[in-house]
Amino acid sequence: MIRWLVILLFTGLSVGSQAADFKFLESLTTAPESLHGQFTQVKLVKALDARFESSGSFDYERGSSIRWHTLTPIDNLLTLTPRTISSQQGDTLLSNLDSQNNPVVVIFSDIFFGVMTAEWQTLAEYFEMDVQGSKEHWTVTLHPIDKSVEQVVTRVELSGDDLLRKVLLFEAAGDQTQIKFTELQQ
Amino acid sequence: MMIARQKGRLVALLWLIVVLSVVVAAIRQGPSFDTSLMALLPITEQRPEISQAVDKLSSDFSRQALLVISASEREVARKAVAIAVKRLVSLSDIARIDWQLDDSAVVGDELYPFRFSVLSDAVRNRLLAGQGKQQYQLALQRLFSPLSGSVQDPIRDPFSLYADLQMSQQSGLPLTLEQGLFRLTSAEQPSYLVRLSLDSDPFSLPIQQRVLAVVDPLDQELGPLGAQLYRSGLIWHAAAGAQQAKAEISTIGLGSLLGIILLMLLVFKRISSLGSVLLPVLIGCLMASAVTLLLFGKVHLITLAFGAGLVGVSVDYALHFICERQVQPADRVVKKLFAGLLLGLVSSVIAYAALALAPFPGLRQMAVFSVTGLTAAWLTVLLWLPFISPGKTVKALPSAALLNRWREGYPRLESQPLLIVGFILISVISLVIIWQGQSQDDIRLLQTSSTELLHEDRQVQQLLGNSSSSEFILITGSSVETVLQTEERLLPALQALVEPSGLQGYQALSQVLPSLQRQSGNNNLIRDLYRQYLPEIGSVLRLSESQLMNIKIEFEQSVNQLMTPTEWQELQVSEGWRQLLINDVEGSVATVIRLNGVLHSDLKEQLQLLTDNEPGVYWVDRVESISNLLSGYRQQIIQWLLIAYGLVVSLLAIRYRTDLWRIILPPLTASLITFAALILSDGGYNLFNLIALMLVLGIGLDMGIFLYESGDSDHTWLAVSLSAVTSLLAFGLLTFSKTPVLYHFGIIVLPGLCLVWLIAPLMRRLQPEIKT
Repeated sequence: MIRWLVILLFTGLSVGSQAADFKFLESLTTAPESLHGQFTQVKLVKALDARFESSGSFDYERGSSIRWHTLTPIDNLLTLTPRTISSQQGDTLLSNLDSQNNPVVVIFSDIFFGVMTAEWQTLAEYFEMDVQGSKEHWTVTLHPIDKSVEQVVTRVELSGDDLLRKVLLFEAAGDQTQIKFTELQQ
Repeated sequence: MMIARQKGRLVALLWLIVVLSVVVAAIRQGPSFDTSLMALLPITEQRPEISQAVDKLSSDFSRQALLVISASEREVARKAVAIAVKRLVSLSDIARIDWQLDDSAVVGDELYPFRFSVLSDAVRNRLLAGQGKQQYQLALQRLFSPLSGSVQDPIRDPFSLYADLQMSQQSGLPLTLEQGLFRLTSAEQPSYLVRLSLDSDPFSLPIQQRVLAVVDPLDQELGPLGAQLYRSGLIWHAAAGAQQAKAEISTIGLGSLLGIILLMLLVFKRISSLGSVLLPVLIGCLMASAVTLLLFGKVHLITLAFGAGLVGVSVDYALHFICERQVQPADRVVKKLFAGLLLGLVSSVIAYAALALAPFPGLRQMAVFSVTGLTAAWLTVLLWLPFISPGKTVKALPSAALLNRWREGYPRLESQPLLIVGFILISVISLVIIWQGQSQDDIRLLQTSSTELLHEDRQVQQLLGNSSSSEFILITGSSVETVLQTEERLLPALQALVEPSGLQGYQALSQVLPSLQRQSGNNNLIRDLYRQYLPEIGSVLRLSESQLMNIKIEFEQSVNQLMTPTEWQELQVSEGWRQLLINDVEGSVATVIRLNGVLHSDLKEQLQLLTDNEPGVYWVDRVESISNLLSGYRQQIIQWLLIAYGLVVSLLAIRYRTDLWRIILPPLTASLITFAALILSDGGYNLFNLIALMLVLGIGLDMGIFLYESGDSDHTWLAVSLSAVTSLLAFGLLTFSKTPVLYHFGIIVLPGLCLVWLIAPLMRRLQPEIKT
C-alpha cells in the first residue's frame, strides 16, 4: 500500500505531455550560454568486463561548440559543432566528420549537444522524458522514441540542481558511462 | 467530250481505289503513334548501352511521384502529413504509398562481418599513408568518449573499424527517420517526404485524373494550416501537358476550325463549297498518315502536327478550282489551271522533299508525309472536284470584286522607284540582322511544362540532393568485378573535382561495394595494423593474455570474409544503391556514377576529359546531346532551305525567265523581314522557326504562281487571299500556344503569311493581260 502511494506521489510530480516536460525542466534549471569545468568519467565496457576511468576538462558555447578534453589516461580533444565532429590528439587531427549527410552522425551530435548543454527542447525530439524531484535536486530519465536512437544510446539519466551535475549513459551493447561535473563556472 | 468525261470518271474511280486500298492497308497494320521526342532523334548516333542506361534510369523515376510537405512548425508539418496520407490512401489500388517506416525496419549491423574487408575511405587512406597509429588512437578516443555512437567491442574490433564504416555510410537520400516519418535533413524548415510509386504508366489519362483529384485539393486543405505541398515527378508534368493540350485544342484548335468554316460560308454561301475545300485536305492528310505509317511503322505526333500544316497548303488547289469554277465550266477550269497547279505542286514538293535528304528520321518522316499529302490532295482536286462541285452556276462572287477593288488601289513595284529602294533597303537591313542572329538550340524548346511546375520540381529535387538522370558517368565492362575496379581507378580523379570545380558529390557503386581485389587489399592493410599496434592497445587497456588471444582468434575468423556483389544485393544497406547497377548480366555489365550539384560547362569538359582516357567509360550528358542534335537539325534545315530556294528558282526560271522576281520576291522578302523581326524580338532563332519558313515559302510561291498564271485575275486573288487567311487561322493562331514548339512555329507563320499577302499585289504586271 505504501509502495503504491509512493508511486502515485512521484507520478503526480511528473508532468503529462512531453512539450510541457521540457518547459518544466527549463523552469527547474538554468541554461547558461557558456560553461566550463572539470569532469571525471567511469566507463564500464562489457566486452572486456573492465572499468575505464578518465578525467579532463570541458567547455561549451550554447548552440555553437563543445570541447571535450580528456587529459588522462590519454590526451584527446573532441570538438563538436552543429555541423562537424572532430577528434584531435596533440596536434594530430585524427578524424573530422561532416554531420550533414549522415543520419547516424546527426543523431549522435544532437544527443551529445542535448545532454551536455541540457538542451531540453532538442532532447524532447528524441526521447520520452520522465522528470522527478525539485529545483534543489532533480532527475530526468530519457527513453528513446525511435529505434535509430537506440543505436547510440538506450537510456540516459541526468541529475543536478540549478546546473547539470551527473550523467548516466546506457549503450546498446550493455556499456555504461557515468560522468560527474565539478568546478562548474559560467 | 463524252469520252473525255468517261475517261475522267474512270481515272477518278481508280484514284478512289488507290486511296481506299492504301488506307485499308494502313489500318490493317494498326495505327500507332509515337509521342517521345527522343524517337525523332537518329538512333545510330546513340550507343546502345548509353540509351539503355538512360531508359533504365528514367523508367525508375517516371513512376515515382514525390510529395514534400513542410511547415515552419514541426507539429504542423507532421499533422499535415497525416491529413495528406489519409487522403492518399484512397489511391492504394493504383500506387504504393511510402510515408513511414516502423522501427523494425531499422538497419542492423549487416556489414559487421565484413569490417576487415569493407573499409571507410578515411580508414583506408589512413592505413595507406602508414598512419596506423592514428587509427589506434582513434579507437582509444572512442573508448574514452562519453558517447561513442556505436558498439565498442575491443575483442572483436579493437581498432573500432566498424564505427568508422558506420559513420561513413551515406544514405542514398538525405533523409532521417523522425518518429516514423521521413524527414528531409537538408530542408531549412521541418519537411517530410511522401512517395507514391505508381503501378502503371504516368501518361495514362485515367491514372492522372485519379491522382490529381486527390492531390490537387490538398493544397487548399493544407494551406490554412500553414503547411505547404511541393510536387516532383513525371506524372505532374504529364498531367499538366495533357491539360494544356486539351485546353489548346479546345481554344486554338476549335477557334481556327470555326474561323475557316465561317469564312468559307461567308464567301461561297454554300455548304457544298466548304466540302470541296476540305475534302482534298482531308484525303491528303489521310493518305499522308497511311503512307507514313506503312513506311515508318509509326507516325510521330510532331510529324502529324507539322505535316498536317504543310499539307494544309493544298487548300489552295481546291480554292483555285472553286473560285474559277464560279465563272467557268469544270473542264475549262481544269485546262486553265493545270499549268499553275502543276507548278505549284512541283515547287512545294521540291521544297519539302529536300527535307528527306537530311539524315534525321524526324525530318525524313515529315518530308514523306507532306509530299504524299500534297500530291494526294492535288490529285483529288483534279480528279474528283469536277464531278463533285455543282456545275451550273456561272456567276462572279461579290467578295472577289470587293477584294479586287482594294487591290486596285495598290501601287505596282515597277512604277515606284522609291518603293524599289525601300525594298532593297529593308532586305539588306534584314539580311544584316539575320547574319548576326544567334541560334538557340535549347532543350527547353522541347519542354511543355510551366516554369512554376519546373521550379517546384527542382526545389524538391534539390532537397533530395538528387542528381539529374540525364547527366552521369557510365561504366561498362565484362563483369561486375572489372567495372568496380574501373570505378576505383576513376574515383580519385573524380574526388579531386569535388568542391573546387563545383561538383557537390557523387554516388558510385564502388563506394559501398568495393571490388574483391580492393577488399583483399584491405585485408592486408588490417593485417599489418594488427601486427603493429595490437600490442600497444593491449598494454594501454591492460588486456590479459587470454583476451589478446581471443582478439587474434576473432580476427582470423573474419579476416577473409569478402562481400560478393550477390551477397551485397541481398542486404538492406544496398537499398537506394542497387539502381546504380544498370545491368549485371555477365559479359555486358554497366554501372552509373551519379553526380550532385549544378554542373557547369567547365566541369563538364573536365568530366569529358576524365572519361575519354578510360576505355568503356562514357560521360553522358543528355541535355547537351539533345541540344547538339537540335543544332544539327537546325543547320541541316538551313542548308535544305537554301537548296529548296535554289531548285525552285531554277525550275521557275525556265518558265518565267525575267518575270521570275514577281513570284520569288513575296515569299523571300516576307521571310527575311519576319525572320529578322523574330531575331530582334526573341533574341535568336531555332529549328522550328526555320521549318515554319518552309511553309511561308510553299504558300508564298503558290500565291505568286497562281496570280501570274491567271493574269492576276480577281478570282485568283480571292483564292490566294482565302488560302492565306485559312493558313493563318490554322497555323498563325499557334502563336498563342503555350507549347514552345507550336509557339515557335506560329510566331513565324503569322507575320510571314500576312507579309506575303501584303507584298504579292505589288508584283502585278503593269499591263494586265486581257482576260479570256
